[in-house]
Amino acid sequence: MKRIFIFVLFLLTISTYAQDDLLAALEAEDSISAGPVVINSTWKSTYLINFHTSETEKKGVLDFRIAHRFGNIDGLNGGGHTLYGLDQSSNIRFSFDYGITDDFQIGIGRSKMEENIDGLVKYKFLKQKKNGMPLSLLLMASVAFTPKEDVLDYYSNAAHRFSYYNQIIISSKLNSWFSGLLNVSHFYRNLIVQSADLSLPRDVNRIFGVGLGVRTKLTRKLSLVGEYAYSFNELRNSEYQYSHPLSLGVEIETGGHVFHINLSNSAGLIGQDLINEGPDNWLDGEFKLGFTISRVFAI
Amino acid sequence: MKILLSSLLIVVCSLGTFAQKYMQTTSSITFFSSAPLEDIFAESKKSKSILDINSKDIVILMKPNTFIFKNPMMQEHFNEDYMESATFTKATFSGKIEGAFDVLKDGIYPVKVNGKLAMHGVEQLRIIDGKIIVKNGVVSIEAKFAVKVADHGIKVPSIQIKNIAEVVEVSIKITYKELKTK
Repeated sequence: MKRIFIFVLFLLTISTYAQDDLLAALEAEDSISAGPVVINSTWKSTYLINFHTSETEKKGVLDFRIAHRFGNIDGLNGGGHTLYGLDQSSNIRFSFDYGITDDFQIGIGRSKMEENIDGLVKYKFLKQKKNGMPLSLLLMASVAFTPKEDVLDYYSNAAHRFSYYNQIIISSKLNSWFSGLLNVSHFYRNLIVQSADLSLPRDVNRIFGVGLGVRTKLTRKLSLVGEYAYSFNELRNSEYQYSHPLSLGVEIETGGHVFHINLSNSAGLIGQDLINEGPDNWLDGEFKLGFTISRVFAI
Repeated sequence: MKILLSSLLIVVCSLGTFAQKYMQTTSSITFFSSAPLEDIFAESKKSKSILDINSKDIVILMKPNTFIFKNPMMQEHFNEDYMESATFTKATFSGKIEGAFDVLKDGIYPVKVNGKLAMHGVEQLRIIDGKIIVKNGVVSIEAKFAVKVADHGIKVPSIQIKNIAEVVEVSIKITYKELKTK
């Protein structure tokens, strides 16, 4: 109030009121009334490659996505006989994400892997602000149900078919061309299948993990993206054939579409599959070409 | 002593020019882009302005990130790809009104405003036709003009040329009230 008073006084005492002075007065007044500005467009879409970014669908926006992962380029089932994996489809996911409010998003999807049908909620409760809050904070919770045929008699109970993946996402747009995110995830499967090899560490229902994702903007429409997920799990860090998922890609945007082309050793498209599956290793040429197309509709 | 004297002089001078500045109460700035594939419309109601009826100076401050679009994706592209709102946080217009008007008499006064439009870090000298409207003692202005986006260093990629017009139409409506102190 006092500052506004000073401003008004200042305004009234400019006797040689040039336009520049008026403009300066207006800007001074504006900086008083306007709060810190929320930083937008940290990421191009709500998904990085497989990770969730700190973006949520805006209110009333429906995002239809088709994600496809081919087979291994080399190594297991790769090479010339499958045209470097192009003959195969390791995973396909169709999904719809919708913004209930600007900060709250729901989504559903269906993957080829495990035939998982998944649902998610995502909420942004801290927003990065210019000269203020340095990061954004989100919570994401998802549940997946596998309606797979029960040939091995695993699912004596329908509850066995559920798995859960919850995540805290911390993200920051460090400058106009570089954004980074860190996530902490909690993964829980109601059913696990133990290896017959008793020399291996036993698998567990609950696995915690951390992930790192980055985006570097090359031009207005083109970005490089990358992500890596690490699980704190004895089995997944033992001699057992498992590699933590590492994905690299390019992101191209044309109007209402976002198009991704990427390479990843994991074929998982949702957190559940991303952490669960992972025998393929980059060093053996076991990485897959993949693409994702996103089309948004304002409804 | 000198400072004291001069500031006293300023205060004395300002008394003579008392209450000739008007500040916005409501404002609406809209832009409309009409291209073969789509029409884009957006409005900001958060612009600020001061009108000095004595010196006939007018200044307007507008922030690109306050524009509301029907489609949030368009809003993002507007800020991120075209206006680069994070770098160029504001656009301004400052000019001098040419033509007679009387704020004490109701009427519609057509005027020209000769000034500087600064947007996306590029200044352009413009002469804009507008109206000063006085109705029941309330002063407002209205103007409509075209902005060629290339004039302000905003590039529209050739792939989007059918979506975004090269010349957009800007409309301004601002209502003022007299600035008073007690």
